Amino acid sequence: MKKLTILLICVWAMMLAFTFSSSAQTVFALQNGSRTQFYTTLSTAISNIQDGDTLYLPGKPLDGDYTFAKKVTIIGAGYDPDSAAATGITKITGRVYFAKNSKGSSITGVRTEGRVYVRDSLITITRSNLESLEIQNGSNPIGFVYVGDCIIRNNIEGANDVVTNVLIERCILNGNLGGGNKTNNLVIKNCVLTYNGNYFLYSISNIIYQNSIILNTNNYMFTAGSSSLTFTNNLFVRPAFSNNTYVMTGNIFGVPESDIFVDSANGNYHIKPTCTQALTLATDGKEVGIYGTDNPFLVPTFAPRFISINNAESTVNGKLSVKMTVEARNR
Amino acid sequence: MKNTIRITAILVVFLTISPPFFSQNSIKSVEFWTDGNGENRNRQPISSSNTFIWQDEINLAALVDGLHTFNMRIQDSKGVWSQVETLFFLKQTNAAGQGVLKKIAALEYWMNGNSANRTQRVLNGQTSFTWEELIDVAGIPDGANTFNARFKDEYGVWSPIETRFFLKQTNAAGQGVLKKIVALEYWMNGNSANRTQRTLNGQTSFTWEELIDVAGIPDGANTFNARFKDEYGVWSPIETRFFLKQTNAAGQGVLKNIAALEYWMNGNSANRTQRTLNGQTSFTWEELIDVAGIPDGVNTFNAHFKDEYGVWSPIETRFFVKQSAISGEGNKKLTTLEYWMDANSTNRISKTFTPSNPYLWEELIPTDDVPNGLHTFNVRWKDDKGIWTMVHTQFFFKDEKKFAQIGENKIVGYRLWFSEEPDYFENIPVIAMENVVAINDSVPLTYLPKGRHQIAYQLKDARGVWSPVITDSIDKPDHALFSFVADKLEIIQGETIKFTPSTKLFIDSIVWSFGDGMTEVNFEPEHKYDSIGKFDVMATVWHKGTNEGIPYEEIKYITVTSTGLLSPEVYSLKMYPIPAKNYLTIECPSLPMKSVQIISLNGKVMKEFLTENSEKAVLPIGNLQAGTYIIVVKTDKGWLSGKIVKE
Repeated sequence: MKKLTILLICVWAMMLAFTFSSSAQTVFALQNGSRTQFYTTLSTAISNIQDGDTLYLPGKPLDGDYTFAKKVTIIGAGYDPDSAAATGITKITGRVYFAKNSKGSSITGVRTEGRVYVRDSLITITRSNLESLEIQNGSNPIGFVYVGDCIIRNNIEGANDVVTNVLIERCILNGNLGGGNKTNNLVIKNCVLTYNGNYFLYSISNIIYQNSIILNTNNYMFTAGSSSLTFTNNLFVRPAFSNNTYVMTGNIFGVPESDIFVDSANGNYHIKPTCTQALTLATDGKEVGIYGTDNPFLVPTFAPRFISINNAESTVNGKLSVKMTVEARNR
Repeated sequence: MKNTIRITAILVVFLTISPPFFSQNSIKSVEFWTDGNGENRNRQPISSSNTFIWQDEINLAALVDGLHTFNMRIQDSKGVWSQVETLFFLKQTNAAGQGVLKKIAALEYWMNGNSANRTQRVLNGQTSFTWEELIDVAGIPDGANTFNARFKDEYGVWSPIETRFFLKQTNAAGQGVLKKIVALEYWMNGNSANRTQRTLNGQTSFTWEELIDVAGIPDGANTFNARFKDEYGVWSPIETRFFLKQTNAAGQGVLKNIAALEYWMNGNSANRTQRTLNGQTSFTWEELIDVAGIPDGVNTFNAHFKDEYGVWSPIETRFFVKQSAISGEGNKKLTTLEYWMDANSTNRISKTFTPSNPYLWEELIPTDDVPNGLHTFNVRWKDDKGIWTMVHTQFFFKDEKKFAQIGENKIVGYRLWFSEEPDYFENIPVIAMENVVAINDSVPLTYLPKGRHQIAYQLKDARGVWSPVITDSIDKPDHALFSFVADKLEIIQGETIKFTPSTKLFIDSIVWSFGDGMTEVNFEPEHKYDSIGKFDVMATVWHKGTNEGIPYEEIKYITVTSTGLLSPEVYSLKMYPIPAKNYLTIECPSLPMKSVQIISLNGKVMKEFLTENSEKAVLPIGNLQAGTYIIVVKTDKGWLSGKIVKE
């Protein structure tokens, strides 16, 4: 009996010998306090999320659309190839949905190739590069959505009249605010709005623009259909404009774009030292744009960061050489 | 047009009958039918006459298109019918539309040659259709373009394509963009030579309300003419409006002088104040009116004005509120503030302070009760008159993990683990002086089997925040260290010994050979020796993912004696203190000690010492974590083991 058992074990062990992969696995860590679970696919990790978990995404492309319906903190390795050089960037190739019951969730350090849909309240998106953004859950009220230190490559849509309290802060907005955005208390603050196409400000209402740099000079359907907008302490490239329903305070107009940024063509939106009017224009006395406020624009996330990794690929005398340069983030 | 096909039958019929009755005969009736439909012929009576001119509209809607015959005959008063007169006619309602009033059911339009992408629109089926629309030309180039359109009737027949040329100039001269109005001109009647010109501020829309002086034009019908110029110098067409000036009929039109006013409050017109004015054409009235005699609350102020002709204007009435108790302007002071977060106004915090103006408020407001994320902070103030300010609201963002004082956060450690044992972490502390630290460690992995492994790393900072996981592959060229111990080395026949491996990590199975011919697959077997003698014990370890069993053998490890004949030697270890804290003393008086291993319960060798004193050893264990450990002492007779608790 025992001899038979040995034979079976030998066969089984031989089978196991051929399951090894020569490349490193992708690991998704799901943590909550001392509980840590690891998964090899994101969909499996998501299906095992419990409210309050933190999900760590590796620096790899992640195929597919993903829906989060629990409260989860999602931490990616970063969206910028330079600051995430050691790990690679975290890139989701599809769409991301913060569905009902995801209230309180956050995501940071991720690039998406698809739209991000916010359908619940208290959602926070930071230090990410989004294809586009939609904030709406039909007729269901949602609010307190924060988007900070992000790049949004296309439009922001959907903020209808039951969406309240949205702050978009220190972001680079390459797209437009889609028509129909009219939420109460949607503030675009200390942003750089690069969109120069038609329909800028078209059919939107109640939006507050503050301490931002607005590059649009396109006059086609510029303010058509919009109402009740507030512009406070912004820097405009276009000449002065007005509308009976707008409140305009402290704005500066007619500043050539070439006078504003250090190197906007290469994504450097620091303000030139010679653009002195922009350096103190903001309502807090600081500079307008993404490098204003008490906490200027940052790319890396708040999680500890690998700067370089030179760990050994084999042990010597039973020991593994671990050589890494790492950083603890202050914010 | 009537919805019928008209056939106008003009027949002049002269009645010819036999001479004796000629002067008495007349045409009495007419019959007609189409095609061979004689049995359904129509008969119409005619007023008797000997000549009959017949003009009529015959409804032929029921006939199909094509060639038909129209047949008719007349009857005289004697009942005699004429021969049938037959005429051919062609009915064409579909081919060329004659005769039917069609409806326009659809239209199509496109620009230039882009008929493949034409816009198609279904209409409501109207007999006439007026089409005015602003067509978006954003997608077509500047320059000459064509606009093409055609219409379809209810029968599916399309009209010819109507083509119009138009010029799009968005770049050259501003046509197509939203232009600004920069000037206007106006004049009355034909007096354009003396038109009034005015420059405007360059607005895309301009609302014009103005009282224009018409004193210089005569009574009666006049024209008011105006036109507007854009920034490109292009004038709009002249807009002309007629108006009637009547200065003499009832005094309208003459600029009158205001000669007097009256005012009163509430309904007290009987005690109204009257005042004579200097006869001005316009009168600006600013005055502090004494309201002492009127009650607090809502009141009305009423006034009207009289011109030099004695004509009073309508009474102007304004409501105002008198608040004598709280109106005290001047030295108001702030006394109270209230604040709350988000929509939690029902639980707002109220603070009263020494009245002052201004009031500087600095306070650290705890946010322990609000979750991470975006919130609003709301505050309002009350003065000593009880008047509140509006609520001031601003966003704030809470993320307790996000912020630390500059330079405060450090990396405190990292962990690594392997895919084969995801629940076992090698936690390595890091001592960092700065935010950025270079880690250079040599991590013992003696438990790791030979072969290739998937390793994962993760950092942790002082806030307890972990980094994302990075993975890699490493090779271990040598076998894992392994050993085992027996709870007894000498037994009498029939007794049982328990064998414990030094580690279970990465081990799939252990095949034990007890030396008496018996084997067992188990991690911690208990084996009963039924034979006497000295037995070699071998543990063959199969690591996860390998196809090679690694043997670990202890020669003549177990001694089994027969019962009752021999007194087996008993070897024991003495270890103290237990629990131990910083040092552990081991004494083995019966056997000389060669080395001592301290092994954790998961089989990892934590420390190893060569004993200088073969009978007694004092081992430093202060840097071990608290817990239970196995002490394994190697002697000439084999291994002795025991357990300690480290506190």
